[in-house]
Amino acid sequence: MNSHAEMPEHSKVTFGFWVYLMSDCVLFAGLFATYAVLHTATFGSPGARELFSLPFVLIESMLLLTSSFTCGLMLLAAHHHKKHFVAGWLIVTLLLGLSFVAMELREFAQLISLGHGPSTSAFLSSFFTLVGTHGLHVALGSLWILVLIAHVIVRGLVPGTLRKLACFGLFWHFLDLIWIFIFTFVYLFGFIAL
Amino acid sequence: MTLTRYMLGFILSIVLTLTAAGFVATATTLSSNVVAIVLVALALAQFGVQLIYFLHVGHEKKPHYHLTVLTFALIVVCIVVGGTLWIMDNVNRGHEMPDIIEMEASALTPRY
Repeated sequence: MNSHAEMPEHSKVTFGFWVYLMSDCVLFAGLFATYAVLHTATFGSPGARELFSLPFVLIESMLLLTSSFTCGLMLLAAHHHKKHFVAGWLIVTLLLGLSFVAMELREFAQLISLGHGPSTSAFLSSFFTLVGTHGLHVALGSLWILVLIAHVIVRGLVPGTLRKLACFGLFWHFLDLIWIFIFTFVYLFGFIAL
Repeated sequence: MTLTRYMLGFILSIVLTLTAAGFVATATTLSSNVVAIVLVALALAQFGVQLIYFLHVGHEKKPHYHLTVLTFALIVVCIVVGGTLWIMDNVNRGHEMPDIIEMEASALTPRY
């Protein structure tokens, strides 16, 4: 089984990026804690159970999870120096990520149009902030993919590009990890009215 | 970092996600606390699966810097979330027991 020791020239950078991700973890912890405290403060309006749709959220989860998998496939291709497969899997990951963002934007727009915007209640403020911050991360990650595709095509899989791809891989996998907890504590707990 | 590991992680994650969703949809007779515990267990399991199979945590060479920093971050997360819930629960309890607050307030009021 191969380990990351095969790419020692960027292990310091990927570790530094990992430390950044851990700080991002703490950021999300604060947002989760806020949501946990405020999620019952609906100000008389409908709560999580009435506003969210399980099939919709399940599709979002599958999109993001699959994109994390294709990101892994991309990293494998990079490991085997298959430049065109790297570009290909980057594009697939991008499409899945953009689909996720599109679904989330649709959900937000629908909530706002029904009067359940982020300023309506503390529950909605904390919901939009938590889920929105995660969505923003995915959107910016998608932008990053575009840059990476350009790097891969123009410069090929040189050490610098491999380093960037490794950092991106950590970032994208991390976003799916955070989503597991959003899916569970925001949506699933919402459905059981906890 | 092999294809097998990624595929295993992917399939396990799908199973855990669908199990959680299915459980919520069908376990309507169980108490919400029981359902909550099951959901948290499934979430933590998937968290572990993705950490190990996607992020290769624990499979790095010694010293395990990634694992160390992750552990520290998780401790901070537990303090932030757990501490917040504890404190807010305490604050809210204050509102629910006005008798105790009046008793304590009157006990603390100096009597001349």
